[in-house]
Amino acid sequence: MADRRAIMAGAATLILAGIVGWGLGVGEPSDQDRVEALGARIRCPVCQGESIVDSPTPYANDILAFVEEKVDEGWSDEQILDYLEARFEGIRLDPRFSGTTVLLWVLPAGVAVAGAWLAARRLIRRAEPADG
Amino acid sequence: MIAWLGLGSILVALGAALAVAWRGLPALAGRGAVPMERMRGPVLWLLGGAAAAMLVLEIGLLAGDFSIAYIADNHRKGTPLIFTIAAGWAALEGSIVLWGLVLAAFTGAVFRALYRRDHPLAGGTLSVLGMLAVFWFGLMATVANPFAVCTAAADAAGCAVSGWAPWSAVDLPGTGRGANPLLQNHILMAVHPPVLYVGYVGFSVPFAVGIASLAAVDHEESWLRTTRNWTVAAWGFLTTGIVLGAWWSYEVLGWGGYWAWDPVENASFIPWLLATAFIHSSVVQLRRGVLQSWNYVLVIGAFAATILGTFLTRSGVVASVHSFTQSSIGPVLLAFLAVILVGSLALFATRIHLVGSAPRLDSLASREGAFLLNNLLLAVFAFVVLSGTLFPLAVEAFEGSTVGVGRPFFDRWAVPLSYCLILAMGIGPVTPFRVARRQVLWERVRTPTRIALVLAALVVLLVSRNRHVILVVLLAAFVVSAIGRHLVVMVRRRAAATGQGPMAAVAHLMRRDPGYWGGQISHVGVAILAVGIAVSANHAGSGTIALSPGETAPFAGYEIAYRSPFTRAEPNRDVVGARLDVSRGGQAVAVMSPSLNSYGDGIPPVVTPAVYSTPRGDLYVSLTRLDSSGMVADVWSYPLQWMVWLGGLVTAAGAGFSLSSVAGRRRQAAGAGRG
Repeated sequence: MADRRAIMAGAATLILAGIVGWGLGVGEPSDQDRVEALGARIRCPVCQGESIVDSPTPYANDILAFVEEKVDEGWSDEQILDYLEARFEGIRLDPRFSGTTVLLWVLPAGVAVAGAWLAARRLIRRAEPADG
Repeated sequence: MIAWLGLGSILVALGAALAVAWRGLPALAGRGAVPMERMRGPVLWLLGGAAAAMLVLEIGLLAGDFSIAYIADNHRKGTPLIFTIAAGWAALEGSIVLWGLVLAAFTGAVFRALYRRDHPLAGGTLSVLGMLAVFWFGLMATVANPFAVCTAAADAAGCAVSGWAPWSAVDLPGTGRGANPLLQNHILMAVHPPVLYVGYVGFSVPFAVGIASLAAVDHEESWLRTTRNWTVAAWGFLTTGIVLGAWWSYEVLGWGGYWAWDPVENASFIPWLLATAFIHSSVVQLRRGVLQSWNYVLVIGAFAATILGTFLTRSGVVASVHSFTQSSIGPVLLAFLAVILVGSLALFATRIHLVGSAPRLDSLASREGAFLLNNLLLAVFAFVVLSGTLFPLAVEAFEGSTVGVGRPFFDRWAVPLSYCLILAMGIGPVTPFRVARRQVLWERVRTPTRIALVLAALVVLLVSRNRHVILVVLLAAFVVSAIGRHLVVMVRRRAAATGQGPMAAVAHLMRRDPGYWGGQISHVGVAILAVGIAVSANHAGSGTIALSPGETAPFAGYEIAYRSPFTRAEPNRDVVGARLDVSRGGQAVAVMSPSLNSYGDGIPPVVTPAVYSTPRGDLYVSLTRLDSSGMVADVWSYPLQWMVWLGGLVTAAGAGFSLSSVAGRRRQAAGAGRG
């Protein structure tokens, strides 16, 4: 009896996990999602650190309209960003993975690894201590 | 008169700060305890001088004394009382006066708390606080004198040139310029900065105790217990201040959001992350005696981060919506930061060999392991925010080119880090110390896991297919139900043992371990906050409506009708806005009045959004154009936005809970001692 209940509970858990997993897996971004996501990565050139999605200025709206147009025409995200970057310096809010900006992506990861390594080395009692 | 009184108060406070620093110095130099009676006088004078300076500034503002440059530049006749008072911290010099007052108040509180308990570190701690006060009051007495006299009035309004000396010849400006419109557009502005400052300045105390402990080679737990309570207090205020700031940004700035990863927001978030790490890692040291040196690093780091934040806000080196004031004190602050960092790290380096060598941990699968993970994640998080904030400055300085680092960069790191943190938040508090056996742990997380799966599956089937929303609901439900299960089990056990009713048992349990349960209250707050952020961000709707009077537009399930424009003259501003009738399913639900508020000629009007909040979420309308032919507005809908504010405030309330019990116990103990 107890076994059967355990099996039922396990099966129910698995089904639920399946539903959640499926929910996490589905979902293609629509064109509108792409425009929003891209717009959030583009700095409004006349504002202070705002993206063209966040900024209400006409200039930002123009660029957003341009992005929408190019998404409709089937340009890839990188094509659109490259096109804009060639015209406005520093327009990307998420710096491209190259040159100096590599640091920005690599350093935090390095800190994480170094921290984990240091903590493991200094703090964890080894399974078999060399000397009592 | 005001100039003399003000500068005089500052000089009194400066002298008292010097005396506090000097008299405590022997303790700091390791030459024994300092008689506390000798500290009382200077501490009281410091408090008195600081309070007098603030008071004189406020009196000057209320009286509208435009002979003082600061008042001429930040006040205008007709400003409502609340904003007249708030003008006391609306710009650089005034905000330093407030900073000094809060620091003096903390110094007084530390004196009271440590003196009564005859704390071995009292002298050294007060000495360090005195040195910090010397810096801030020294700043006020020299380059940032809030009581500088206006020696040449500006043509239009305010003051063009000011002189430091109170005896300078006054050129009285006819009219004041008034504070930055953004700072007098909403009531929250009167509350948010002081609360944030209490949080910021509060980190001076843990820093001072830490330095005193390092200097006096007292590495006992006494420094840690003392520091922890002060850190929790400062953290509670900082949390409240950040939430109120986000709220203000949402209600006032009209860009339709509440958090932009703006450098100044980041500047308040970095100390928050480090203090959060310390609050957790200090538990490990108290329980298991490890992480001593790391705790020093966190305390020093959190304090240094508050100074860095002040530098970023006040020097104008970063472009930010918060760049209200720019001034020449940037280099001074930078030098101060360098002294703090070099000095404290040098002290730390000379003492590190004395910091007790750690007994090691038995296993990573334990509460300690969860705390370590938490600290690693928080430290990396702080590093990401720090580097993302400073990187554009560094690139501009070294390469001369501009690089934008904005929301996408921060989100890309913050989102996964937050997921890991929330997961650790669910598992950590129910994991036993030392070694967690698998059966015990599974027993404790089994039911919460199932509850979380049921809720997340319901979300998938009925509400949302957005993966962030699903994941956050899964994690948040897990956290809350794990805490709930733990409480239920403990209460049952106690009720069975003592025959108490469940409510009495809950009250007893929570009072017995306020640190733990205060922490769990904060965890529930973070879970609510996370759901609020994920849902409001991922199911937000946005659009633009352009209407002539009488027309109606549908948006997010609402019908928005433009009834008419309106104008209203208020003492300090002219309000021009649009009256909107909002209905849902044919039923009128609200009248919204987004507006453009003008604070004087030549200043662009402040876009003031209107927000209609319901339990389902917010409707947010922000005017972009208004003329005789019609209105154009940006509109947003944010489902469950209230959960962001509620979650943030519950998070802060956890700190209040754990401290109220500390205070209660202390009162009880004092009462028992007397009886």
